[in-house]
Amino acid sequence: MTIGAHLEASLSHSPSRENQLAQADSERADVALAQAGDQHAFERLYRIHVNRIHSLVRRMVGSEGDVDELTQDVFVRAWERLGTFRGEAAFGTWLHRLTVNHVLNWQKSAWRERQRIDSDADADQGAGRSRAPDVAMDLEEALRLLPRGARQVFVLYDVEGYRHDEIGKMLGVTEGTSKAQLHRARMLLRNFLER
Amino acid sequence: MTAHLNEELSAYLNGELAGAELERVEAHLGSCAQCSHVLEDLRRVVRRARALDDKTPERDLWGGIASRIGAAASQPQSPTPAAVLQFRPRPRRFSFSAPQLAAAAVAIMTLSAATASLLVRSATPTATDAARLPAAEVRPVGLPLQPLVESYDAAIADLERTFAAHRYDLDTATARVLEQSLALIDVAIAQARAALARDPNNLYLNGHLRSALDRKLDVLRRAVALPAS
Repeated sequence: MTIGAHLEASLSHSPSRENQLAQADSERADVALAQAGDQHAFERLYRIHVNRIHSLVRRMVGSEGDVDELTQDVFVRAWERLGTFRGEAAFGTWLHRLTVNHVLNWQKSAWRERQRIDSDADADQGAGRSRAPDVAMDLEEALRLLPRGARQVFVLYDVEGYRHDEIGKMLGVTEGTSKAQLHRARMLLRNFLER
Repeated sequence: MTAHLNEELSAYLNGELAGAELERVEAHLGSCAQCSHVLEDLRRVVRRARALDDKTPERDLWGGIASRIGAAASQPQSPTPAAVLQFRPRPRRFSFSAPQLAAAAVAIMTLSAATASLLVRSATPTATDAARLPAAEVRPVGLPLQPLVESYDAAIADLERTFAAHRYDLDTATARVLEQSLALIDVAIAQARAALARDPNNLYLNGHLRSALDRKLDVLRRAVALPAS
């Protein structure tokens, strides 16, 4: 195999170190440019991360809110707070954490609290008795039916990989509560998925 | 038999148990088919959660964001969201000087003429052509990018001089990040050039070099456009 073919194979078929470096390097440059006010650079950052952020928002809010609108809010907030990003972590990690905080704050607002009570009641009913249907469902769909607390912990722990101590701090609950909510979520999902 | 397991099942799955508690749970699982069955179900739930894919929003949300941050939505240069995960969008907007544009135009005309000639010839193969080109002489048709690369080099050199003059007007941290990025792009360019020296007709390497040059040009162009801090 020629050197060219070898390079081609390594660059096109696997996320090689060189590709990763180039991508990280491009992202760092875009972050620096966006911090200096370059909105096109920020658009590139948006396009790289939007799927991840939109999916995170969708899973965290369930059926509570407008996912598109919240995703837009997150990116606007990120633009406003870019100056606080110092590069200690990857930009994606920073954006991810900002998203979690933004959604949690949104959910804590008094107006949403009212909706939560209603939706929790609905979801608990569904999880227990009347929702015994019959058809196995997709995990994404099942997530929407979880009570908020259980859904938040499940998404943060099982999908996003946060630890219980981190989740406890984010949600303002004890680690024990986080563990209990995780088990509750898993058991409810088991019921939804195994029908 | 002891009571069925509850939260211990999740704790066991998470690897949070140790010592006597772990032994107790494992002993129970060894003798209780019901708890073992639930454990397997929970394991499947966790596996599915970890395998979830991120999905593309049904509509492009950038327009709404752009209007709120004061940017003009730049639809023409925006690739489809689905394409973005695979390929970084790199708007190709260059600031060539007039002589450089002229050189690039000449290079493109030369390329076009050469390509057209090759296409015409390959589109109408004749017995004579086949006879005139013995197998040993048939070479892969690479892209003779050298003239184009030279015009890139000239544009880059021009921008580098401007950036060097402008560098101390910028915020130090911004300038440092940009310099580090440019240095990494230089490594990629050097690697591509070295590989091309050994395999000059490789289409992929030519594209790779051009993409790295594009990237450098783009970063430089934006860097010189930054306002002084």
